[in-house]
Amino acid sequence: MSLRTARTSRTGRTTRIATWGAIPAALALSGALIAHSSYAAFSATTVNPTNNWTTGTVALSDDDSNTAAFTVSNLAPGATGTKVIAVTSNGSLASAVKLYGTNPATTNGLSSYVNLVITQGTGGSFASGTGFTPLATGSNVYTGTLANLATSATSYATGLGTWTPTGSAAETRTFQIKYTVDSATPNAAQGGTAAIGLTWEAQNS
Amino acid sequence: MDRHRRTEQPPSGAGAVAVQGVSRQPGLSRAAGPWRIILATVARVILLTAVCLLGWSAAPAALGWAPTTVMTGSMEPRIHPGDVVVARPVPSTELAVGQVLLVDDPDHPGRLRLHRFVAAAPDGSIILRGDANRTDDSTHVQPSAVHGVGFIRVPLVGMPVLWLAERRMVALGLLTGAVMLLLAAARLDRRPPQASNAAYTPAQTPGSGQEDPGVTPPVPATDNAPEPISSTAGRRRVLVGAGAALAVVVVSAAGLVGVHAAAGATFSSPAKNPTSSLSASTAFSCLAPTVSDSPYLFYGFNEGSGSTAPDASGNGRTGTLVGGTSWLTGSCAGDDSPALTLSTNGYVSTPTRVSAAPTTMSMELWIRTSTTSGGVLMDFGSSQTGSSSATDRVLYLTDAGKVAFGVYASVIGAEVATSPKAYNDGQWHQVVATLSGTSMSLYVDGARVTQKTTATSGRANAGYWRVGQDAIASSWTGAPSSTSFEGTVDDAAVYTTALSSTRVSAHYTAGR
Repeated sequence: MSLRTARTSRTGRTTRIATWGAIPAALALSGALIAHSSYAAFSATTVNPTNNWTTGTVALSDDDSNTAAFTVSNLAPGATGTKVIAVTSNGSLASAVKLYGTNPATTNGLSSYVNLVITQGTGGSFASGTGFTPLATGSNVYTGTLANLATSATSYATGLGTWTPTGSAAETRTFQIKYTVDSATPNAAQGGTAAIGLTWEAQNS
Repeated sequence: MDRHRRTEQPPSGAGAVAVQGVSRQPGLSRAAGPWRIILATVARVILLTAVCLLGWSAAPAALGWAPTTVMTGSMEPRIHPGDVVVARPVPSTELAVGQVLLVDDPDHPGRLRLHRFVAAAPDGSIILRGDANRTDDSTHVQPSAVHGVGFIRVPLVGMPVLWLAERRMVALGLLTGAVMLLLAAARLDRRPPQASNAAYTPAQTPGSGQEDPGVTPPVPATDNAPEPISSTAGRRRVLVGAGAALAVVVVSAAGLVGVHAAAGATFSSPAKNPTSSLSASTAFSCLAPTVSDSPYLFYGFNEGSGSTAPDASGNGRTGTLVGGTSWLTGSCAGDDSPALTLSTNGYVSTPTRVSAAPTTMSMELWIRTSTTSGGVLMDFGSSQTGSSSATDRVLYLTDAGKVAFGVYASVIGAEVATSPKAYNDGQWHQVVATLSGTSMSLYVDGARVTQKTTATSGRANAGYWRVGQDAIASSWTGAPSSTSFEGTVDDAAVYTTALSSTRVSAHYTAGR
């Protein structure tokens, strides 16, 4: 009995130490964990982003080989042109693709007299617009002047379009861009220029 | 070691082995064995660590810092989905490249974004980038949109929030089970209460209660010297402790869900088409006036700018704009040709002095006005500018808005042909005056409105052709109160031949 009591007593003490010792241990452990995690996360180090660490991502590409859709000069009222660009989503996350303009510029106010119609569909490519077929419904992405596009669709948040790739498989959508120099372009726009870059951007939804 | 092995022997080993082992071994439950102490301690440390981590992630909210659950992996490998990041508000002056910032998502109103500050844009806005993204975020953010700088990263504790958002109920269930197991394990080194009907806290050691009666330890509580407390007090303490622990967990979890906003560290990928450029021709060919019948000079007034009026006749007699003139823009669409507006004392002078005014000639121009003070439309005057001392072959508008053409005939003196109607109606009108050697004719809008054969030619003075202003003899019929025409003019031409009515009509049909 005395042996057992002593042993129990000793064990009880150990238990108590173990009981209360858990608190500082947990505090120390959590503190160390956070300190380490925070240092790793927030030290201002350069991270090489090329490694694909992620379990999922979004990836968008186009077939323009970094060539501008239009580089046209000597335009007169009534002049028109069309280009198709194929945009492909290879991401593994569901995403939403938006189209917006970048670096708009104009002289003599020409951009107010360039009418754009952007249509989404299937078929066709940057090299050849042949085979482009607009979507049966909701094919219109934009109808209006270049000047309006330049001021209304300037970022992802204000971007245009309804394409939402699911991320489960690669998806390609083609966009037809048609410009027409308004027949009512005033003489004041003679010698004018209009420029804009078009960016399609996917962000995970 | 021996004991350890025995504990794993119970036949009903399914489920919580350790818990059942405790219950089924009366000898062992009497005094906590070392392995139980170790197991319980480990469980307690794990649980308390989790509670502390929750505390670390929730408590800063009291300071106004912003804890955020990371929902996506665009900041990998540094920050993972399920982490909680606490952002500390800092003055915008302390923002620096390299920091991880919590900002209002510029692309998704209402969302937050946790990305790294990679550069300052020239306009003072901040360029962000997810470490896992290949490109910078396309939309820059203003310093005012920054909630704070990432300061504390608490790994993994946001996982339940993430799972909840992703509806991963299996994971949530497994986590709940693991927490319950840990709670049970944390109590392994507690000796069962003395009262035979007392049970362990049922919620924490499910299934153990029914076997308690058989394992009631014979050891009196007083034997356990360091813990001289009654079983009731002990039970109360156990309950209070468990309750407190539960409260901490619940509060922390609630804090995580409620206080923590979710940061959708955004993945983005742009496909950019380089800048397209369109440039218009310097002179729209559709605006070029149709010139026919070999004019002596022809001012199309399509330039839209400048202080001269180029001569479209090909004779190079470029006119000079004098006084109040302004260009009216126009286009190729319909009746929208650019033109020149003349205001007070505005006119166009010509460069070439003519030694003798032609015997046969035509003056043609388009006018649009609402003036009630008339004015000289075109004439041949002795002076290049200002008021000529002698004018002849004058096409003018009367105060009543009628078109008049006057010549100073050699025998009969001043002769004026006046249109029956007024044309100061704000509309465009083609006006043509001809002197053919046999008659003087006045045409408006392609049709002859009056003709006189009494005067067939004017004086052969030397001088200059003028458009829009010159002196006029007050004795002439309907001489206007103003010598300066106020209105808009277009396609002004002088011919050294008398245009036939057919040609005048053709000019009118061709438009201005």
